[in-house]
Amino acid sequence: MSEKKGISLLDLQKELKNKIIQAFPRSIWVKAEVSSVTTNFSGHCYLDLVDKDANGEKLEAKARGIIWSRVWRTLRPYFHETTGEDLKIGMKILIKVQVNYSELYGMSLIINDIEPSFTIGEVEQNRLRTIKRLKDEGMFDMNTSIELPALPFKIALISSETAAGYGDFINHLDNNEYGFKFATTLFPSPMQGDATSEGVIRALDAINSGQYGEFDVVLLFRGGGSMTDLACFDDYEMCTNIAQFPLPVFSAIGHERDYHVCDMVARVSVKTPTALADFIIDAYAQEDARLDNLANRLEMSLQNKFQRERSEFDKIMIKLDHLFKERMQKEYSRISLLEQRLKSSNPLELIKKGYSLVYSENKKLDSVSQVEIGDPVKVLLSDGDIDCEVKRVNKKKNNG
Amino acid sequence: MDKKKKSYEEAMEELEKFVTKVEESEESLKEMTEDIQKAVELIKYCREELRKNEENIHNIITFVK
Repeated sequence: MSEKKGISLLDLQKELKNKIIQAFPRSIWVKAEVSSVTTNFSGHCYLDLVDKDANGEKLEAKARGIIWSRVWRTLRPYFHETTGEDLKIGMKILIKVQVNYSELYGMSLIINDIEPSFTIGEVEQNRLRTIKRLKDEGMFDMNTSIELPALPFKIALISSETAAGYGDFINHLDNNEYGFKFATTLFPSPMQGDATSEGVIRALDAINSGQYGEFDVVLLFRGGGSMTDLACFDDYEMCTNIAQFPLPVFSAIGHERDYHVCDMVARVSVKTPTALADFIIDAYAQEDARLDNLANRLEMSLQNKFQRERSEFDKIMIKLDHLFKERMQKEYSRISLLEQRLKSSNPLELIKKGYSLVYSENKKLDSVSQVEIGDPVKVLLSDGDIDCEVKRVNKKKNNG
Repeated sequence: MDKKKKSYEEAMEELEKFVTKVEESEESLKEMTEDIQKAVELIKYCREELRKNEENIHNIITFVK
């Protein structure tokens, strides 16, 4: 059959090439996602460009892109300067291409220019979509309305030991000036790129499972990075998991200028990992200061009370002392009086003064009627005694 | 002095007795001399007891203050 003779493949390709060149005589701007990127030894950059469906899962279009080395040499630093990074997988880009068709290799897009602000805008768009969806679903404020523990002690960390800022955070928390200690457990997760969302969700699940113990708070953090490195923190799946998490989540992603959806849905968000450590330490420092203040007040009022009691007590002591001294004085006088009485009634004291005592049969005489003539008596003097005999008794008339 | 330590009150009571006895001068010279000696010892003892009390109280007050 003559109609079935066909044309050569080369003719077909030539025909296609002509049509394509006619259809796209000038360069045009094209939006696409990068699905692979390599730079070969001679400095040319080869890309696979794709379009995906609305869910970002199924490929709907695919084409090859080439940036010749002479173009790449200027585009690369330009793009990097604006977005903070190189072209990479998953990135949405806006490129100016010349459609090229080769009989041997088929279609390729020769890239002459790139619009980095589009890439930034895509990240922003994604962020806005995530925010809107979380708000529409009523998730946005779920974590932010959880009550904050006054003193978070058992702390689950989601980060990566290799992530920027991880070392700073640990160092800052462990070596705080007050010497506070915290029980931290790291649940490692990638902290950049596409794997982040899944990793963070897995870590959250592990924390929530209870098999690693109970926790007071979850800290999600990493240091600064490029905009698209951190774009994963706008991911809807990750953010909805954070928002619905039953424990308060504290987030610190990136640098001063970075603010992500995960920061918005987290219970507490601070700028940097170091600031996050400070936040925890400050909570303790404040409580510590409050306790100090209470202790001071208590001590002060005790001292006041004690001072009052003390002055009362001093009064009592003075009174007691006084009473005691009075009593002692009385006792001393009593003794002195007895001593005095003893002295004055001691006949030997009289003898010393020149008086003498007369004894009869060892009995002191105080009346002449106690002796009769001829009785022996003893006269006592200060330096001895005299044995005598009664010769005569003269009794005083009026002495009874 | 008795072997067992006298209280201050007991010593004072005894002292009173000795002094009264000496004052009544009913006893022999020997008895009187002995009584006076005992009375003087009791005076010493009672004064010493009072001094000890003072010291104790002083110590207590110093400690409490």
